[in-house]
Amino acid sequence: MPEPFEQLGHLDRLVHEPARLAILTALSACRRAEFMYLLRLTGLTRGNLSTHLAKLEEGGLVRVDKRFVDRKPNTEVSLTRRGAAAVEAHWRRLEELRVAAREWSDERGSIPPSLAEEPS
Amino acid sequence: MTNKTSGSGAVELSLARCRDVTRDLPSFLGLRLLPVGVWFLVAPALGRFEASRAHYGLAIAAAVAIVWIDRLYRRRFGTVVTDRVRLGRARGLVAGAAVAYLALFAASSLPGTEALVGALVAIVFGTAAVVVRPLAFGAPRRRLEAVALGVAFGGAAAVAAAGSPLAHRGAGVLLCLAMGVLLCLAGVAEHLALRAALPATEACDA
Repeated sequence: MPEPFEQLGHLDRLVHEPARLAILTALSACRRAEFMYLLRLTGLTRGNLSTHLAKLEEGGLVRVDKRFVDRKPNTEVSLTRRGAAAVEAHWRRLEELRVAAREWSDERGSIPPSLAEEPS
Repeated sequence: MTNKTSGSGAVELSLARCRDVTRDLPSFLGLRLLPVGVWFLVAPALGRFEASRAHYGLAIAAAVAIVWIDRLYRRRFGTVVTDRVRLGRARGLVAGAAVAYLALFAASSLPGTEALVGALVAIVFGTAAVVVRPLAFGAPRRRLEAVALGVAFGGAAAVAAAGSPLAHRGAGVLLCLAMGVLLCLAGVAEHLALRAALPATEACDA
């Protein structure tokens, strides 16, 4: 397997999953956000979002604070230091992958050799 | 980068959108501008900018409406706490501008000071519009809006400083109406942008 594609396997799956990456990216742009906001932003179902947040909390990437405001349950989510570092590292790794993939593509030509060969 | 989420609530997710909307959410809550816009539209009918029960009543009604709309937004879209430093500085400036405005509003009841008060009010508002909003929210669209507000208030200041009754009645009223229309349009545009950025889903409405 070529080098850039090998590196894909080393990406942190906890962060790289699309919905979780969206949640983490949004949280990296603010101090904290309410559950309702994340629900609206991601378009996930309540159950899905809860599951993703539970996984992120389990991994120590986010902190989930549940409390009551005006007798109604209110959930606030914020990024932990570890979570902020994980998002930063993930974006850095994706950028490195992009550069590596471009170099790999330039070396071999934009069309994979198997497709470029004329059928005999 | 665009990704597709898994599960029953699958939607197109743009990570850049997630970041930008979250960072600028306070500037998208446009309907909060409507009460101020309506205030400007109604104010000319109540007379000049001077202390009166009608003006105070309108100001209180606008403030109550803003609080109510803010709560409505919180319920529908949830809240986001953004950078404390930027918001803190902006809040201080807004509070300062508000105090200055109220002081000038009260001082306008003194005889013979209307023109000066009108000019000062316009300058305070114009400065607040030009300085505070971009400082707090910084989005290009908001900067344009702030510049438009600044120009309008600068014009109002010039008109008020001229001090002629014609300037007060004619151009002043026109500027007030223009301000009202501008604020209402800006508010609705921001709200529509918010609806587009954060579309309602079944999960949100449940």
